[in-house]
Amino acid sequence: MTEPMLRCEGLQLHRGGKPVLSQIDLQVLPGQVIGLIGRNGAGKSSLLEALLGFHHLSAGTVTAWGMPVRQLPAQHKRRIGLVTQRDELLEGLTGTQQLQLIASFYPHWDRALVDRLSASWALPLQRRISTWSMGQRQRLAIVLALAAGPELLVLDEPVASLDPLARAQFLLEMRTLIADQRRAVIISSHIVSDLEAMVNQVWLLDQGVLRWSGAISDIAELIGPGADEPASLEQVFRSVIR
Amino acid sequence: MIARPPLPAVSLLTLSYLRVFPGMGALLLVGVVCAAAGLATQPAVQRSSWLAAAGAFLVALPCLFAGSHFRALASRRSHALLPGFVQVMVVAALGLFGLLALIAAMLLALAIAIPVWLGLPVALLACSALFWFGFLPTPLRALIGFVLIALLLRGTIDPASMELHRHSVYVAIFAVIFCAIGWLCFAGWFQHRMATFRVFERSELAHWNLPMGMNVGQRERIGSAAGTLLLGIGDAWSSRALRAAIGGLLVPLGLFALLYALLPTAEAQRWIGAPVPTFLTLAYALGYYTHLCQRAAQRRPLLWLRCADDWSGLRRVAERALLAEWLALAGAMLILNLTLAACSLWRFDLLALCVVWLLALLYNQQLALYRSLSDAVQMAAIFAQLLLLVLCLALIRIGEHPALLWWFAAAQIAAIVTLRLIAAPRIST
Repeated sequence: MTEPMLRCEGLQLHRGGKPVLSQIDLQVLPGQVIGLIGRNGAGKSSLLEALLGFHHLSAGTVTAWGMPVRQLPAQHKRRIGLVTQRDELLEGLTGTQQLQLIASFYPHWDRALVDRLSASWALPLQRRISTWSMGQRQRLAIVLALAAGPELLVLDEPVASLDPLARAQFLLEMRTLIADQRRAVIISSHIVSDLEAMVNQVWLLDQGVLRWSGAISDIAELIGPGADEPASLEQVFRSVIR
Repeated sequence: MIARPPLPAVSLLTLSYLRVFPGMGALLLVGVVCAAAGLATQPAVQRSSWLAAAGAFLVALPCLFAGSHFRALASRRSHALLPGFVQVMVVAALGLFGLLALIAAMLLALAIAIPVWLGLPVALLACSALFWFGFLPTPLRALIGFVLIALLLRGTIDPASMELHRHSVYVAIFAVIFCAIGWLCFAGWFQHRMATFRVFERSELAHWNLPMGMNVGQRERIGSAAGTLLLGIGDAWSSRALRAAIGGLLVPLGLFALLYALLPTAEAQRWIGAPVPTFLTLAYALGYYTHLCQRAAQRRPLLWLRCADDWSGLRRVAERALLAEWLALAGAMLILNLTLAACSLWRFDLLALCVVWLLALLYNQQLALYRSLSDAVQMAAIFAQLLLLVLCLALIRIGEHPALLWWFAAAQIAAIVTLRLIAAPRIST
């Protein structure tokens, strides 16, 4: 049986005395491309952060490659890539300097990928990041995460600030990336139609509770029998999350 | 362990310290020019003034922002996942600290003609204090700000007390002890932070995020729904006036009560010279108004709930609400100064200081509301610190050169107008 990359059991997270995430059990296997969907404030970002060890859990455990996620050594940290909802670039640096900075932490940095994506996304690498638009910054954040060649890639609303063209390019790039069966991807997005074409698993989160998780091919079971034609992910989302 | 030599990462992180805010490079260049001017000047008094200015720009400025920059770097989720990031950041910080301390020691040795063995511990002490500043919890940081002001005022009232020659041994001992304590605290904080990588919010990083709403029991009178929504506190004139009066009177009175309780009466009375109440009120206004600007910048999108307008329109609403707060503060300042004038403690040059300070707060507001939301808070906080630093230095010489402050006021007005002209088209598009 394949060893899970990431596993959480009985995960609970409270903030200010209120429950943010309740009793979540999940696991991530190589080759899975997981779409995390839910309304605003459902706890998607909190769940991703909890899975990566950014929060003290109220209860439960999260392990990555069999180790507690908050005590991961450097060789395992290197296997995780993260694109946050709001980029975390250093504004005083130029794009090139930012790339050099992150590249220096990774022995297997994919320069060819960086060059290709930077050119096709027209990133102004010679300019300081403080002068870039939000979309350009987000693209650079995505390039930084992809170039490190992570085995587990976590994307929190990665396309929220991209224009339609860049979004299409990103989705194309993602399809190439996820073809590698050794890799797992967790992606949260409001744009459910984007996810549908890409993911093979779905986690449906509602008010901090995992309402459903499973293969996307089984998602129609959520709205019950009787549908005339196969339900789209968006239809299921609308009918389940009211 | 990281696979490659961390040199590029160390140098790039160090470079990022020196570009914390736009224009920092230019300010460092001003420091270099001041240092060169100091070296070329012969009379000792003028020479020390130039070198003090050089120290403020070349050492104090980067030191002051390095701590908060560290906090910001350590709070990034993606950095927490970088293998070996902790080691690289510590090396970069230590390198920067060593460099700044060395520059400070050289400037000190040149400016006040003390031996290098004494200059180095003093420089280390000063740099450490400024470095730690960014790591302290916000309430403690505010307290340290007041302590620094008090020390500067003491130096102004009794210059002899600040002569280092008199206390050389104590200075050296204190420098070693405080440096050790400070760096141990930093190491402990950093180790804990990176081991647990708890996420910091940006609002926690702002230097002047003080709980100064004075909204006891959430019972303030609401003036307008939009203004209250924006500021998060009542925006009626009565509420506003109460806040300004509390800030304008309670802060100085609290400190005086403390001084009278802790010091002999004669010693305490020396502190209640003319500049002290005004200066304390100015310092309060700085923290309070910056806090409000920060809050308004964060909450501006909420105005959509009340005003169906574009971004320019929302900005105008925010400007009006903040301007009303500013007027209340200016009123409190006026009452305080009139009271002091009645007590024959008022000085004309203090009026200049008040005017400059209040204009600077308006400039702060412009920064907070015009720039992109993500940067507004940090920019405003940085500007507030810079202002505090410059005006603390100015206060020492205020009696000798009051005209300089009026020129500074003119420069502030020009800056506000320029900022409006530059930023307005960007906002409206």
